[in-house]
Amino acid sequence: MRISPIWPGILCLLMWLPAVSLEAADGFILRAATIHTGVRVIEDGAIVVRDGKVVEAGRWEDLAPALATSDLPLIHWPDAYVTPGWVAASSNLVAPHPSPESIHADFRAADGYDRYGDHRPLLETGVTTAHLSPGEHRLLSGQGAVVKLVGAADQRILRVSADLSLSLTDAVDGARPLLRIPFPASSDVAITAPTPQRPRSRIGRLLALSEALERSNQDPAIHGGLAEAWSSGLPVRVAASKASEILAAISFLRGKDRDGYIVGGTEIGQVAAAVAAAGIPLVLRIQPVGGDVGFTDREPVEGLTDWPQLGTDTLLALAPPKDDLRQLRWALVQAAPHMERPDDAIALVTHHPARILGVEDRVGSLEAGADADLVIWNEGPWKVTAHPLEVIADGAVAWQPQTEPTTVIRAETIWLSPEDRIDGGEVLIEQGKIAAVGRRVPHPPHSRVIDAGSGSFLVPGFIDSYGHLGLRGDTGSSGTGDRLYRLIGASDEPEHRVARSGVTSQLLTPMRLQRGAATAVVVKTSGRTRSQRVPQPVSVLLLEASGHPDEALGGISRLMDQGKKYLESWKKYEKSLAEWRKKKAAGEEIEQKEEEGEEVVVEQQGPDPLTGVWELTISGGPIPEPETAKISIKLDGTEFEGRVVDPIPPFPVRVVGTLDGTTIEATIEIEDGVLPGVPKIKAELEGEDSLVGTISLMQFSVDVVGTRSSKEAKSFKVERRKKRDEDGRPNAPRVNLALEPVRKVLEGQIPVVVTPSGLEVATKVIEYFSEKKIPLTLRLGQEMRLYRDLLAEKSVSVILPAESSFTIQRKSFAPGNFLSRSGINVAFQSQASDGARSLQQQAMQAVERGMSADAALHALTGGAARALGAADRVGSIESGLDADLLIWNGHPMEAGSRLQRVFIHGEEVPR
Amino acid sequence: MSRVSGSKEPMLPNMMLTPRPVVSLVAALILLFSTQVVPAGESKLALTGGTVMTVSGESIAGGVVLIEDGIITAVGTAETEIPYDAMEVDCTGMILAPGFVDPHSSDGLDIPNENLPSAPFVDVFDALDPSRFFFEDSLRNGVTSIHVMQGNNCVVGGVSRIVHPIGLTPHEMSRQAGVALKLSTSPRRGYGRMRQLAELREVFEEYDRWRENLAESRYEQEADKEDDDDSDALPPEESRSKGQELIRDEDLDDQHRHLAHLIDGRLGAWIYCGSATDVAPALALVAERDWKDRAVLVLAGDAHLAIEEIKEAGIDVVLDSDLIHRKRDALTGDVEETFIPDVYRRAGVRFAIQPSRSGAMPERFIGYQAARLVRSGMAPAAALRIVTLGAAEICGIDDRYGSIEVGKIGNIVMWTGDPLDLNSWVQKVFVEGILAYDLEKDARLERLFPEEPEPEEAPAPLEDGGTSEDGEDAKPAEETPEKTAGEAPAEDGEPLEEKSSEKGEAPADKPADPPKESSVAGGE
Repeated sequence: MRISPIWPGILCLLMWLPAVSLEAADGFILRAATIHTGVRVIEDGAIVVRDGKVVEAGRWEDLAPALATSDLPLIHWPDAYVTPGWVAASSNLVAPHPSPESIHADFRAADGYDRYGDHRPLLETGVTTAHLSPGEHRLLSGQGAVVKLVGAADQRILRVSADLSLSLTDAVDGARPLLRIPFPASSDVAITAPTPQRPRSRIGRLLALSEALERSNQDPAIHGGLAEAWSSGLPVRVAASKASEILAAISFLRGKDRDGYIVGGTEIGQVAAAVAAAGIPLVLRIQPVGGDVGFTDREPVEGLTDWPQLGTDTLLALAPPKDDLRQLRWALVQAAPHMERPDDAIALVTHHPARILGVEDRVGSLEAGADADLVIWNEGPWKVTAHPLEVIADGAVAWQPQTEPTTVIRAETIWLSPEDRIDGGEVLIEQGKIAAVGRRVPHPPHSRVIDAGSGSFLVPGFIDSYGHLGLRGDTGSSGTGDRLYRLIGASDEPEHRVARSGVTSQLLTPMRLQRGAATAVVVKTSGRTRSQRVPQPVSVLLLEASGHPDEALGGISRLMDQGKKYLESWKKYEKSLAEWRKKKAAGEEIEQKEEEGEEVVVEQQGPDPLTGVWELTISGGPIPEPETAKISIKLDGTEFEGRVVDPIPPFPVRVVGTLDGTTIEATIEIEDGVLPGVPKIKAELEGEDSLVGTISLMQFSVDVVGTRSSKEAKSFKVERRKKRDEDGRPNAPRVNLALEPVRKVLEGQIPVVVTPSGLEVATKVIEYFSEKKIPLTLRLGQEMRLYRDLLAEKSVSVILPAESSFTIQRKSFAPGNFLSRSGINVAFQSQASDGARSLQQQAMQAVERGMSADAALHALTGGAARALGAADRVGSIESGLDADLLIWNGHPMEAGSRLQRVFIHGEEVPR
Repeated sequence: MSRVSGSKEPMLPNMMLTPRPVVSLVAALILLFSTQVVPAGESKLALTGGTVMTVSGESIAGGVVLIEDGIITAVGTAETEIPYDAMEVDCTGMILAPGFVDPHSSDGLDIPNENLPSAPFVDVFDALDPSRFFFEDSLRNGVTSIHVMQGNNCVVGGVSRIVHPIGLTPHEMSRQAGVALKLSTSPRRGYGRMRQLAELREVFEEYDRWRENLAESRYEQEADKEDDDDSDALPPEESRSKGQELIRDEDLDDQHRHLAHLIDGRLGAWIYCGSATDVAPALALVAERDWKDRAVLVLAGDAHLAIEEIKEAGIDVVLDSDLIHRKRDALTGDVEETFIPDVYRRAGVRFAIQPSRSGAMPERFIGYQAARLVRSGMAPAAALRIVTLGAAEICGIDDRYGSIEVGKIGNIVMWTGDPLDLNSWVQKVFVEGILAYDLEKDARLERLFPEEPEPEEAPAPLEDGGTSEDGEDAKPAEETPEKTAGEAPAEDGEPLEEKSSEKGEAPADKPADPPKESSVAGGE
C-alpha cells in the first residue's frame, strides 16, 4: 500500500497531540459524595491510596490542600457511596468436607479454596473478603479460614487457620459409624465393625465434645490432632441457631474459657439478653421468613421475627442467608431499618465481621493502613436499588459492570414546561436518551444515581437559536450546498465553556450567506465525535430577504422553484421505481423503452483560475521534510471539488471547498475516525497558477504552496446516464447538494429561518411560506411590533434580537415580553461563538423587562427547539429525547440560582 | 479381546468378515513373542548406513551403532570398526533415533488405581499386564521405555517402575523397580480438597509416629542386648532420637516400607496437581520433607497458572496430554487458549509430555505431541529431546535411556524419516539390541491396511538407495512363512540380513514414506 505524502504529514500532526495518558501511577485519590470507612461516615470525603493500601482518609476539604501537589490521579465520583470491600462472616465458597468423622480438627477450609479461581462475578455482591468454613455438618468439622476473593494467588489467604469450627445444630447428630479398613485386610486381619460416632442426640453434643478434648490430651494423634489445634488458642466458631443451642454455646465457651463467637442465631431474639451479657460476638444469619423448605435434611428455617436487642457492646455481624454471598446485601437491607441510622448497618458487613474474624488490620475499613479494598456504590447500599459501580481490590479495579451505563437523576423539581413540573421526581437516562420521567423511574442494575439534593431544579439544556460556535473565526460565506457540520469535530475548550454555561445545543450558522441562502445545523456543545455532536447534517434552511418588498422575495422564490422541480424529479423517480418494483414483483415483462440516454456533461467553462492539476508542497509545522502531492480540482461556480491523484491515497481523499475571489477555503474529507478533526485548507491564489496558504488540523497548521501544472482537470469519468438500467429499473436523478435542503424544506422535514430586512418584507415572507405551509421562523428586530398579530395568526416562531429592549418614540418595549404574551413562540440567539455562554443572562434581562420566568425558560429550551424544528430531539424532558439536562439549585430565571451540573447526551460535562 | 481399546473397534467387523482372524492373531502373537523368548545377550548388532540422531550430541549421517549384549558399545561414522561376528543391519536411508520414553503411564496396568485412597505399600509390578495392547502399540509408535505408575486418583499411590514394552511376564518386562511413589494433592474422586489434604498429612504424620515408636523400641532392644540393667533407661524423646539410626531395613513393616524409602531418598515423589491451587500444597510438602531433588509434579488442568511457584521451586514437571488449556472469562465470556508447554518453556522449567490415553488418535502418539511443540516454536531437536533424553532425566534414568550413547541401553528405533514427521513410520524397533518390532511383520497393521497404499507417482531413480522392500511381488509369500514359523531371534537375524541386502539391490517405493522425503529428513 502506498501512502500519500499527505499522510505522513497528518500523522505527524497526530503525534504532536498532547499526551493525555496518565503515567501508570501506583495509587490514586478517590473523592466521593459519601465515604463510609467502616468506622465513620465522611461526607464529601476522600481517601488516598498508595501501593494498594489506604494512606489517608478524611474530608475532601481537609485533604485537598495537601493533595494539590500530589502525583496521584484523582478519581471523582460525585454521587457515589463508597464502602470498604465487604467481609462475609460466612460463605459457601468451600463445600463442607465429605469425611465422616464427627470430630476432626485437621480439615482446613483454606485447603478447599481455589486460590487461582476466578471469583470476579461474586464481586458484584460487594464482598471482597469471605470466611471459609469446613462445614457446619459435624460437631467439630475443622478449621475455618479467611480469604480474599481476588488478588495474586499467594496473597489471597488472609488467615489459614482463623478458628475451630464447632456446630451445635441438629445437623451434627447421627453421624454415620466410622469404618477403618486395616492394612492389609486379609483373612488374618479382619475388617472390624464400624465404630459408632457421637453425638447421637442434642444432649450428647457438648458431652461428646468435652470427652473428645479429654481423650485427645492423652493421645494427640486422635481427632485429627485435636489436642494441638485446641491448645493453639484459636477462637471457637460455634454454629447455633435455636435458643437452646445458643445457650449451650455460651455455656461451652464460658466453661472452657475460650474466645469465640456464635454463628446463626435464628432464635436469637429469645436469648438476646444472655448473649449480650456474655459479651460473645454474634454473626447473625438472617433467613428469609419461611425460607425454602426443599428436600434438605435440615429443618426449615424460620425468619427473624424480631431484631435482637443486643445493646451496643455486643459485636454483631451479618452473614448472608444460606451463606450465599449474593444475598448479603439483602441481609443488610433487612438490618438497616433497625439501626439508629441506616449508615450504621454498613459496619455489620465490614468492620464488625473483620474484627470477629481477626482481620481488622487488613480489611473491613478504609482508615489509614488498611488494604484498599473498596466498593463504589451508586447510592447507599441499604437501599433496595443500590448496585456497585466499581469494585477495587488492593488498589486495582477488580470489577466493573458489563452493562451499558445508565444514570438516574433525582431532583426536587423537574421542570417539564411552563405549565407542568414534577416535584421530587426522577429521570432515567439510557444510552444518552431520556428513557423515563416520573416520580419513581426504573433503576436498572448498576445505574449511577445522581441525587441532586434539596432545592435542585432540573431543566432541559438551553438552546442557542443562532450562533457561530465552532466556526473558529471563519468568516467565509456558505451556500445551500455546503455542509457546515463538516467543520465540527470533538468539542474543545470554547465549546466546553459554552456547555458549562448551560447551552447544550446551538444552531451553527455561517457568518455570511451565499446568495442569500445557506444551511445551518444544530450542534451539541459537547461530544467526543462529530456524529455524537451533529445528529443530522442539515437542520434548517437559512434565508435572507431584503430590499423592496416586491423584489425581496425574488431570490427566495427562485430557489424554492428550483427546489420544487428537483423535488418533483425525485417524486417522479420514486413513483416509477415503485411501479417498477410492483411489476418486478408481479413478474411482468418490463418493456425496454429505447430511451435516449440523457447525457450529462460537465459544463465546460472558459479558463478558470482553479480547475486543473495542482502540485502542492506541504512544509513546516511538525512535518520534518516537505512533502508533495498532486490534486486534481474542478471548479463549478464558486464551489470546487478535487481529489488527491498522486500518489494514490489508500482511501478516497476529497477536497471540497469554495473559491471566493482569490480566497480558497476547503476541507479535506477523509473517512470518519481516521483523524481527530477535519483538515482545512485556507489559501490565496497568487497570480496565475500558484497559491499559498495553510492546512490546519485542530491547533496545528502547515504551510502549503501550490502550482498548477495543467489546466485540465483529470476528469472523473463523465458518465452517460440512462434513465433506466438494463433491467428496466429507473435511474435516480442526480443528487444536487445545493437543492437538497430546499427539497427537505418542501417536504416539511426542516423549517426555514428567514432574516427579513426592510419595510413590509417580513409580511411578504410570512405570506409566502404560510401559503406553502412551510414551518417558518423569523429573525426580527424592532420592526416585530408591527407584525404581532400576523405572527400570532400564522403561528410563526420568532428568534428574538440580542437587544432586550428598544426605545421607540420614547417608549421602550421589550420584545420578549411583547411577543410571548401573545402566545408567539420565541427563542433566544447569541449571534456569537463562545459568547453564547451569556445566553442565560440574555434571558434574565428579558425577565427583568417583564417576560415571565417560565416563558423565558421555555424560550431557552422547548421554544427554541420548536423554532429550529428539533423539538423531537431536544428542548424538553420527555422520554425518547436526548438527555441534555441541567441541574440548577433553583429556578434558572431567579436571581441567585446557580447552574450545578450539565449533562449532554447523558454524559456529564466536567468542570 | 475385550481389552481392545476403543479406537480399534472399527476393525472388529472387518475381522469377522475375514475367514482367518484367529490364524492371523495367533501369527501376530507368535511374531511378537518369538523375539522375546530369548533374553538379551550374546549378540552383537551393528546398525549401519542410517542417520543416527543421538539426541545427546550431533547427528551422524551414515553412522554406525554397535550394540553388544544390549548395551551400545560404539556410536560413530561409517569408519567405525564392525566386529566380524556382529549381525549387520543396513539402515541406509533410515533414521536411527533413541526410543521414546513415556514418562508417566498407567496404561500397562489392569486398572490404573487402587481402591484404597492411601496405599503406599502397593507396587505396579503386581498389576502389570503384559498382554495389554498398549505395549504392542508403544513399540509401533517407537516407545521403548515406559515409566509405569499408578493413576492420579489416589492420596498416596504405589511404587512405579521402568518397563520395556516386550516380554511375557512382568519380570521380563521390568527393568528398574522402585522409581517413585505417586502422591496427589488434587482431590480423589468423591473427596474434597480439604479431605484430600487432611488425609495426605495424616499419612505422613502417622508414618512419623510409627517411626518414632519403632525407634524407641529399637533403642530399647539394643540397650537390652548390651546390658540387662535397665537402670539407665532414657526418657522417650532421647531414646527415640537415638533409636533412629538403629532402624534396619528388616525392621520396616510392609505398610511403611515404601514411605520409609520415599523419605530416606530411595524413591522419587511424583505429585499429581490437577489444578493450579493444588500446586502450593504439593510444593509445601516437597519443601517440608526436602524432596526437591527427586520430586516431580504431574500437572493437569490450569496448573500452569502456578508457573511462578513452580519456577521458584525449581521442580521438574510432567504435563498432561491435553496440551491446550481453554479458559472462559467469568465476566466477558471470552475464551482464551493457552498452549501449556509454551508456558513452561518460556519460564525455563524442565518438562516432559505424555501421550494421551483416551484422546484423539494422533494425540496417543507421543511423536505427534512432540511435533506440536515444534509447531509452537520449539526447535525440532529440542522437541525430540523432550520425549527422549528429557523424559529420561525427569524419570532419573538418563544414565541408561534417552539417547544413543556408548554405555546406554540399545533401545533404538529405525524411522523412515524424521521421528517428529507424521509421514514417518517406525520401520524397526530394537530393544536391548534385539529386534522387537518390524513394520513388515506387523500383522495388525496389515489388517488395518490390507492393501498396499498407492505407490508414489515417480518411484524410479533413487539417489541414496531406497530402503524399502518389494512388498508386492513374491516377497509376502516369502515372509509369511517366516512370520508364522516363529523362529528364534538368533535365526531371525538371517532373514533380516537377507532383506537388507535385497534392499540395497532392488530399491523400490515404500508404502508409507517416499524415500525421497526420508532422505530430506535425514539430511536435517
